[in-house]
Amino acid sequence: MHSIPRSPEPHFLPELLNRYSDWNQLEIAERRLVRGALAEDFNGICGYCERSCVEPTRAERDNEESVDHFRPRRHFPNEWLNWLNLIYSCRRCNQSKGSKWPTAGDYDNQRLARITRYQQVSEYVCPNQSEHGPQCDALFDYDLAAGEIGPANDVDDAHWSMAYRTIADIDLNSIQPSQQNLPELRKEWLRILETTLRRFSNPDERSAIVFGHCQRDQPFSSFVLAYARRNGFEV
Amino acid sequence: MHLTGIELGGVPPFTDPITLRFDERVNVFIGPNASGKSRILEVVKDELLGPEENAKRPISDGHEHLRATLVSDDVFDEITGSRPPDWARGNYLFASEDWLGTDTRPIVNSEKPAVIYVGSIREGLPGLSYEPETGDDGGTSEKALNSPFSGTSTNCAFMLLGKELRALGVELRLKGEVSPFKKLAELRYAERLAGSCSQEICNEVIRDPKLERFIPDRYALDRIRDPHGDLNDIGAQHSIGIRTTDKPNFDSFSSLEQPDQLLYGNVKDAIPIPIPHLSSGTEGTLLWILWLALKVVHHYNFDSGTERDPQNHSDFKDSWDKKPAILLIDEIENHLHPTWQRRVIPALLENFPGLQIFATTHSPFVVAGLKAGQVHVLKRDENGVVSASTEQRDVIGWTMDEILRGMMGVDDPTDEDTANAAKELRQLRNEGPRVDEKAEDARQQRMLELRAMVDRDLLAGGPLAAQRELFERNLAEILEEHRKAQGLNQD
Repeated sequence: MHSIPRSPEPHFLPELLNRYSDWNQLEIAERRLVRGALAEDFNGICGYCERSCVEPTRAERDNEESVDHFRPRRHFPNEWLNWLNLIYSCRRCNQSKGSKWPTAGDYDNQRLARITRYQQVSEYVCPNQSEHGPQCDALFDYDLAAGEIGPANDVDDAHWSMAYRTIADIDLNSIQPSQQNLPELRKEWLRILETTLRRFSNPDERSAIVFGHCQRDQPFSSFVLAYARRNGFEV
Repeated sequence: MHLTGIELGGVPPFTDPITLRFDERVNVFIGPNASGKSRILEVVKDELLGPEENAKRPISDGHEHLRATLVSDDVFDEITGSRPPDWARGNYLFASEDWLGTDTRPIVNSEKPAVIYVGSIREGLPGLSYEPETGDDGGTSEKALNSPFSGTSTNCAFMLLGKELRALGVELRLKGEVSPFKKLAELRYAERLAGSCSQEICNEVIRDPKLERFIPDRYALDRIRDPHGDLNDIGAQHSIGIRTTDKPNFDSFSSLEQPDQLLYGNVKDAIPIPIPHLSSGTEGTLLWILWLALKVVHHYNFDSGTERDPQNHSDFKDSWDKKPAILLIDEIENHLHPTWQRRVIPALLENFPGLQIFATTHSPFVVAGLKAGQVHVLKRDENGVVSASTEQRDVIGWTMDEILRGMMGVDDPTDEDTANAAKELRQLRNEGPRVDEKAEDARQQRMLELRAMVDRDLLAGGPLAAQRELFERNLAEILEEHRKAQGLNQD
């Protein structure tokens, strides 16, 4: 996950808020309008798993673009059209997250019991770059060899636990058979990058390529960033 | 006439009734073993042809609750009110308007289509052998086509052709008529059509020029020299012409003076290849396609509609090979390599424009390339209840991996051990961390081991290929920007 600077609320939101009282009431065209505005903020990259949502793959379509409510509508009915609560997300992440919320009453208690040794913390890590709350760039780290995302080691317990729960509940290391294999996708992305770099000998070009793939408009950019930092690229 | 749907229940494994809407050309049934794929074909066959004697699993007997309703696109003529034809048995065939069976008007005004059933074990093709007849004048074609297959020789279809030709020859001699002449031409056309169809499927082998060097010429010559002789002798059994370079040429059909050309057309174009020189896969495929063509030509009584115009082959609008026929074939991909499996259905569709295909398959290569509404998926739940649904997506451009995962229900298309490892890994991950430290360490250790096993084999071809494309495109943009920036810096 990487933090996204959010643009100001688009002009059509207040009007929609006046006209409707729930997300389900929006027309398809209006949803598309909201989704389009979000796509500009997030550069067509899923806010959670960082896959590109612009061209969904044919058979499974689990990276089709959708709008996620960071605070679920079920528990926060007033926030259904709060601009900062809307996250551009792929269908897979949206469905995995569902209406889970750690402090809500119906949160899976069994699950909570299993992770009690990691101290409880209020909520998930939000991809928004805002003044309040932790910046998600610093909370996550990657296992480059396995292609897996994990909580960063050098943060306090509370935030470690927060990051852990985000990964677990959105299933950011998903190897579910019905879904795309996320660790494998990340590894493959890195493999392509490395084989590409072998074709270029000019150090300027090499660092430009790596730098380009660390930008927010690229898939798996924070994963590539971790790779770049560990391999001595200037980014 | 096409079948447009079926409502079926009361026969195992269809304890709950299913309804399916059929495509006009192709219907492929997929699903696990014992989910009733073959049963659907058998029921359709029984409804159209009547119950078979000595059937392996008799459907009509013992299943009093069988409720099969076939729906066709022919419409009942209310004005004339004529009776349904004999072949529309009982109340099984209904008009299409209200296709779920509340409208029970029977079909009339239509010709019975040719129905061809090919079982999953090709050796057991019924009616391919020719039982020797007493008397000199051979047997009737009808009898030959319906007698059971002995299973000893795959040359039976060709023996049948030989007998047919011989019978025609005798008939010709006895009656002194020219009428069987047309029949002969149509038989030859059927042979050529089947040849060109199976050549489209198996072209690498049949067109292999190296193969021709090994073919003893005498087989070909035997057959050419003695077209009306006893074709049961060894030379004749082995010399069937299937190497066709084009559709048959009917230029020479007007003359009885050229018996060689009559049978083989231009000999330069069609050198007979003895069947034993073909691979068994090619042989098996050729066999049932030839049988299909023979059944259709017999069913339509050798009727090519109009007089065949030698100059214009595409003119035969009413020819028997354009007329409606229903092919029910079990395991259509039998004997074939994957690259050939992909060609079976397109080749059949092209060569038999009136054919409606009902096939079962376990191969993703057969399913690939089909359109929405042509693939029917059968599923069996834990209680043994079978449900059926029709795929509403075009299966065009999918990878085999995507078809296996997304449609045929193969979760991990890899070997059994790796699939089990992946399953266990998934379970461990879902369980989440253990409260007990020791147990948690053991879990982590086990997950590491499993991860090493699963790592590479769970690669998903489709999404990864898509990623590679995306990467290349983005790279081009990044490099272009970089070079632009470099240029600006230098300026």
